[in-house]
Amino acid sequence: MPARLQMKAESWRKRILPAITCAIAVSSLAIFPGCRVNRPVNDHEKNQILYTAMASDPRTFNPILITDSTSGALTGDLFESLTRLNPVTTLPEAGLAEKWDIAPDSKAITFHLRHGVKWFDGRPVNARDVLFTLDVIYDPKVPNSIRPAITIDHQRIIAEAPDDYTVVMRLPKPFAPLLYSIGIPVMPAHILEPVWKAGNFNHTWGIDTPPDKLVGNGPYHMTHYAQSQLVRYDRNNDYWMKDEHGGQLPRLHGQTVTIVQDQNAEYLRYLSGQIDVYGPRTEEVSPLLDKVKNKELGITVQQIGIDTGSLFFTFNRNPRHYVKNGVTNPKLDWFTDLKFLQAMAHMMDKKSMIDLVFHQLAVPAVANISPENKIFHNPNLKDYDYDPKLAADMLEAAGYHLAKPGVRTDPKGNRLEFDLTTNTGTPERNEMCTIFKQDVESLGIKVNYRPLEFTTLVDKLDSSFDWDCVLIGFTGGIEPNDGANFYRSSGNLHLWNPNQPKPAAPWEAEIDTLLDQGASEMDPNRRAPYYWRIQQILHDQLPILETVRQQRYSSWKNSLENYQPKVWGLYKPEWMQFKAD
Amino acid sequence: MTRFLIRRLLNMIPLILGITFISFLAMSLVPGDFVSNLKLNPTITPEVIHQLEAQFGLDQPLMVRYFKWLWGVLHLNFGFSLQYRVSVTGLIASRAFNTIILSLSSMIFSWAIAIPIGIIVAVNQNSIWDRCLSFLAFFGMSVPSFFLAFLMMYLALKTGWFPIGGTFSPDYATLDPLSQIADRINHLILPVFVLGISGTAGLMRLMRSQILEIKNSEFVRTARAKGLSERVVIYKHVLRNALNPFVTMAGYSLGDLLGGAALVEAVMNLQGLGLLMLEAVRSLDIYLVMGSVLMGTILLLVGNLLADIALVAVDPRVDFSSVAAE
Amino acid sequence: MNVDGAMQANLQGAAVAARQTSGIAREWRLASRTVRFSAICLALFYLLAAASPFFASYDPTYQNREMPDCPPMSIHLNAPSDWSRGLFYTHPMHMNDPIARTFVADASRRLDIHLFTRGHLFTTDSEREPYFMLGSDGLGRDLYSRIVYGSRVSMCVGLIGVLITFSLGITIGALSGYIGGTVDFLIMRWSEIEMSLPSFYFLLALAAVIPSGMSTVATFFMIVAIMSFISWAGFARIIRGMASSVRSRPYVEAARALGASRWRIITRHIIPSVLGYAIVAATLSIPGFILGESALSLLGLGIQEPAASWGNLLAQAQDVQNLARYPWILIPGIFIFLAVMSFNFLGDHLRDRLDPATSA
Repeated sequence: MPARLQMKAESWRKRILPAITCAIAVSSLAIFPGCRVNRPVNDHEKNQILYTAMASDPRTFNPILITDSTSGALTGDLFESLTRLNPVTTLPEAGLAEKWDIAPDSKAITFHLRHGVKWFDGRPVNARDVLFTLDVIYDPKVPNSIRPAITIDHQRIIAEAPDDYTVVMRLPKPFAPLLYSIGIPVMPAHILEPVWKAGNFNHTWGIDTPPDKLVGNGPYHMTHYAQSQLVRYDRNNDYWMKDEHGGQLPRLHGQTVTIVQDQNAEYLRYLSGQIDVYGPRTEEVSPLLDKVKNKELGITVQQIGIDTGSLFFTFNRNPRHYVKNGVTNPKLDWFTDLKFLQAMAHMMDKKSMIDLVFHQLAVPAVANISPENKIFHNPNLKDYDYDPKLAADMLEAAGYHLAKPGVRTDPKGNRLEFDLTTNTGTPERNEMCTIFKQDVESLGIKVNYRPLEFTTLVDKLDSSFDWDCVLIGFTGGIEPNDGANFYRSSGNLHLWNPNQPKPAAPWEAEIDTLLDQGASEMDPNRRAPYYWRIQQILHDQLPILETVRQQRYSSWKNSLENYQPKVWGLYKPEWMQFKAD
Repeated sequence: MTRFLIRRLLNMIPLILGITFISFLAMSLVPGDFVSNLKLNPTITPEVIHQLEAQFGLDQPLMVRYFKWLWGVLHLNFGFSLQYRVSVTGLIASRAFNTIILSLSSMIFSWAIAIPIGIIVAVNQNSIWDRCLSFLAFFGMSVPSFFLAFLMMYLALKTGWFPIGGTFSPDYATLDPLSQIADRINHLILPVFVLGISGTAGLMRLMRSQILEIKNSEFVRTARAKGLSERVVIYKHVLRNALNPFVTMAGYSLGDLLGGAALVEAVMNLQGLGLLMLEAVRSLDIYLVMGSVLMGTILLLVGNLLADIALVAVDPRVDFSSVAAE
Repeated sequence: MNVDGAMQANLQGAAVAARQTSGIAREWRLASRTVRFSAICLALFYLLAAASPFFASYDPTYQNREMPDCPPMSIHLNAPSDWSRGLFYTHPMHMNDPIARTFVADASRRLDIHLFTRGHLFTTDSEREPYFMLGSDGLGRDLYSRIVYGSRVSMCVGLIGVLITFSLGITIGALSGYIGGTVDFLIMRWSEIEMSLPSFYFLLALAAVIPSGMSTVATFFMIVAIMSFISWAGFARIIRGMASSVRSRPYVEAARALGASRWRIITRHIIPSVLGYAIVAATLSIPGFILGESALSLLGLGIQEPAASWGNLLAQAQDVQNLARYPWILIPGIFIFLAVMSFNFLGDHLRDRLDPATSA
C-alpha cells in the first residue's frame, strides 16, 4: 500500500497544484457577480401578472379540510361560494347565489343560484354541488372547521334542491350567523362525490395533487405549485363576472404567489420590485413613507384600518388549577377580585405600548370587538386610564398593602407574585409583556415572565391549566358568534376558566344568554345590542384586559390600478389591473 | 476488510435504534402535540381536534407509536408529514437537493481557499503573511454565521449586486436552462460565502498546524539532513502527510452535508432541510422530525465508516484492526 | 468531531507541557501582542461580569419610555474651571419624530456626567435624563448597561458549559480508556448515540419541560447544563484514546507493578497526562458555547427578555429595518466577536505553549 501511495514531488506540482488553482478559479468565478441571467421579458405590468408573497406553504388544496390561513388564501381564488363578504359594508353579498330570500319565520333560506357558472372542466355549477358540499361537511368522518359554524343546537341544516338552480336550507331555529358562515367554497360533486363515497375524501387534493386536477369555479385556476417556492395562477377565461362594460373579469392575466418565510426577506423583495404589493409591519411604514415622499420607488402607502382582532392579557380563574386537595391557592382570590383586576387595568400603559412597540401606529383597544366591525363594535365604553397612583390606592383600599418597599401582600399576608407568559416568536408581545411587567413590579408585585413555545403555551391553556397570566391574541371576524367558543362559559376557548359545567359567575351566565339571543335575531341592527352588552360585561368584569390594536397599512406599486385593500380583504379584486402604457 | 465492514454495519443497528428512540422520547416530552397548533382557532372544536388526533395516530401510547413508526420504516414507509400532509420521503428529497448544493458548494469554496492558504501560511511561518492571514482566519472563525448572513442581506439590499435571499428568482420556471443555472449560482453566492467563511478559517488553521507539526517531525528532519532542498521536502514529504486528516474529514463531512445550516437558511430564506427541520420541530411534526433524524444519523454513520476506510487507504500506519478497535 | 484529527495531533506535546510550571510574568513576556490583547479583553469582560452594578450606568431593565432607539450620545470635556461640576458633560437628546424615531441634541443644555457617583463608574443625576453612551434599545433601555449585565450570562455560559463537559469527559474518558473491556464498549456505544443526537431538537424539548416559575436566567443555565451533560461524549472519546495509550507506557506499567491502585493510577498518571490537552481543548471550546448562546437567542430559545445577554441583545438586529436605522444595536455583536476571538487566540497560544511540536 505505501508504494501505491508514493507520489512524486513532480506529480504533486503537476496534478494537485493545478487542480487547486482550478478550484480557486472556479469558485472565484462564482463569487464574481457576473453570472448572467437571461430573463425572458418578464414585466409584471406588460404581462398583467401580479406578484405577491405568502409566509408559508399550503397544507392542503382541499378547501373543506383547510385549518390554516395560508391554504385558505391560496385556494380562495379557485372556488366560489354562495355568499361572499363585502369588505366595505361588512355585509354578505351575492356570490354563486344571485340572491336569497328569508322565510317570514326566519327558519328557511332560499338561495337562487346564478345560471351559466361553469367548473373549469366545462360542467355547469348547480344545486347538486351545493348539497354535496353540505353532505361532506356534515360527514362525521371528515374533520373540518366549517361544521361547527353551520351546526345549530347540535343539528344540521336540512338542504334540498327543488330545481337545479335553487337551494332551500331549513334551520331548526332562526340563526343569523348563517349568512356569513354559509360563505363556504362549493365543491364539484361530479368529481369528488365518487371519491367521498369511496371513503377517500380526507386524502384528496393534498398538496401533491397536480394543479390541473383541482377543478374549481373561481376567477383563477392554479397552473403550477413548486413547494416552498411559488404558486402560479392563470385567469379563468370563463369566469362568470363581467365589468360594467361587459368586459371579462378578472382583468389580471394571472398571479404568482412566492413563498417567502422570512418577513424581512419579503420586505426586501418588495423594495426590489420582485413583488407588487406588501403589508408592511409598523416599523416599516415610516421608511416606506419616506420613499413615497422622495418618489423613490413609485409606490403608494395607505392606512387601511386597524386590526380586526383582539390582543389581551388574561388572568387564570380556573379552580381546577388553583384548588388542590381542598386548599385554595391565594392567587385564585386575587384573580377573581375585581379590585385587583381594576388596579391591573389601570397599570396598562397603552400609550407606551403604542409608542414603543408599534411606533405610534396603533390605537388603544377598549372593546373586545374591533371598531372595524362597524355594526357590532361597542363605541360607548370608557377605557381604564393608565394611573399607577390610582392603582396603588385601589390595591391599598382592597387590603393589598405594601409590607415593605417593593413587596406587596394580600390581606392574608401572602406576597403578591404571578407568572406571566406569551408565545415566543412575536417580538411585539414580548415587548408588551416587558412593559407590563415593569409597571406591575413598580407596585411591589413580583412578575415571573417567560415566553413559551406556541404548542407548549396552548397545552397549558387547554389541558394543564398551569398558568397565571398570559398575553394572547385572537383574530376577529365580522360575525361575533364565531367567537362563541371564547365568550361562552362552557366553551373550550373560554380561556380564564374553560369548559364550565355551569357558569361560575352571574355575569358569565348573562353572557351565555346574550349569545343565544344574539344568534336568533336575524336583523344585524337589532342583533348589535346583545353583543354590545357582552363587550360591556367583559369591560366591567375584566376577565380580559384589552391592550392595543395596531393600524394596518398596505403598500403597492403605483402601476397597479383598482387595488383596494381593506382590513377585511380586497374590495373588488377582479377589477385589479396594471396600467397599460 | 469484509469482516470489518460487517462488524461496523452490525454495530450501526443498535445505534440507529437508540438514537431514534431517544429522539422519539424527547419529542413526546414536549407538552402538546401537532394538533395543539390548531386549538386556539375558535372555529375548530375539540371534537375536530380529537378526530385529527385519531387520524394522525397521535392519541396512542408512546411505545405503540414508536413501534408503528419503526415497523413502517422497515417497510420503507417513513410516514407522512402532519404539516404538509405528504410523504416524508418526498418532502425531504425535494428540500435535500437545495441543501446538498449549498453545502457542497460552500465545502468546495472553503477547501479551495483554505488548503492553499494554509500551505502558504505554514511554509512562511511567522512571516507577515502568516500573521495577517492567521488573524483573518480568527476573524472569520469568530463572526457568528447568522450575523454575517444578516450583514450580507443588508449588503445585497444596499448594493443590488446580489439577490436578497431565496433559492432562485420568482420567475425561475420561465427561464431557459442556462439562465436557470446562472440564477441559482447568483442566489448561492452570498450563502456560500457566509457558510464557507467559518469553515475556511478552521480548515486553514488545521492545515497550518498539520504542516507545522510534520515539518518538525523526525522523518522530515532526516529528509532535510539528506540534503534535499526545502522545496522538495515541503512538497514531497510534508504536504502528502499533512493532507491525511483531510481525507478523513471529507468522510465526516458527509453527516454535515444535510445538517446544520438551519440558522443561515432561516435568515436568508433558503429552502433547505435545516429550515424544514426547524419548522417541523417547532410545530411538533413528529414523523417529519423522525425522518430527518433517521436520515441524518445514517449519513453520519456511513460518513464515519467511509472516513475510516479512507484513513486506512491513505495512511500506511493505520490498518483495519486498529480502526475497528476505535 | 471534525477537529478530532487536529486535537489528536497535539496530544503528546500537551501532556509534556502540562507539567511545565512557569510564572505569569514569564508567560506574559512570551505572549505575542494579540495574545496579550486577548488576555486583557477577557480579564476586562470578567471584571464587567463580576462588578456589573458598578460598571453599568443605570438599571439595565429601566425603560426610558420617551427615548426608544436613541443613538449614542456625544461626550464633551468640561472646561477646567467647571471641573467642580464634573469632568464630562453631554447634551440631552429628545425625540423629534416618534414614528421614524429621530432624535436631536439640545445643544443649549449641558447634562453633567458624574464619575464614581452613587456606586456607578459614571452616571447622570437621574435615569430620567440619561446618558446613553452606546444608545438605547427599542424600549428605551441603556444599551451600555445591558451589555455590562449581559456579560454575566455570556461570559459564564462558556465557563459553566466547559466545566461540566470537561469534568464529565475527563472522568468518563479516563475510566473507559483505563478499564477497557465491556465498560469501555458500553460507554463508547452510548457516546456514539449521544454524538449523533440532533442537539437543537433536544434543546427544544428540554426548554419546554422546564417549570414556568423559574427565572429566565436559571432556565437558561439549566439548558446549558443539560446540553453540556449530553455533549461530553466527543471529548470523552479523545481522552479515552489518550488514556488507553498512556496505559501501556512503561511508567504506568511500573506503577501497576508496584501495586498502585487503579484509582491512584487514574488520578496520578492518566488524568495529569491528558490535562494539558484538556486545558487547550477547553479554552478552544468556550467560543462554541458563546456562539451557541447567540444562535439560540436568535431562535428565541436562549435568554429571554427582560434579562440581557449579548446574544439576545444582538438578536434585535434580526430585523433588517432595525439594522439599517439603528446600527448601534450591532455593538453587542462586537463584544461577542471580541470574546470569541480572544478565547481563540488564547487557546491557540496555549496550544503553542503546551505543544512544542507546533511552536517555532
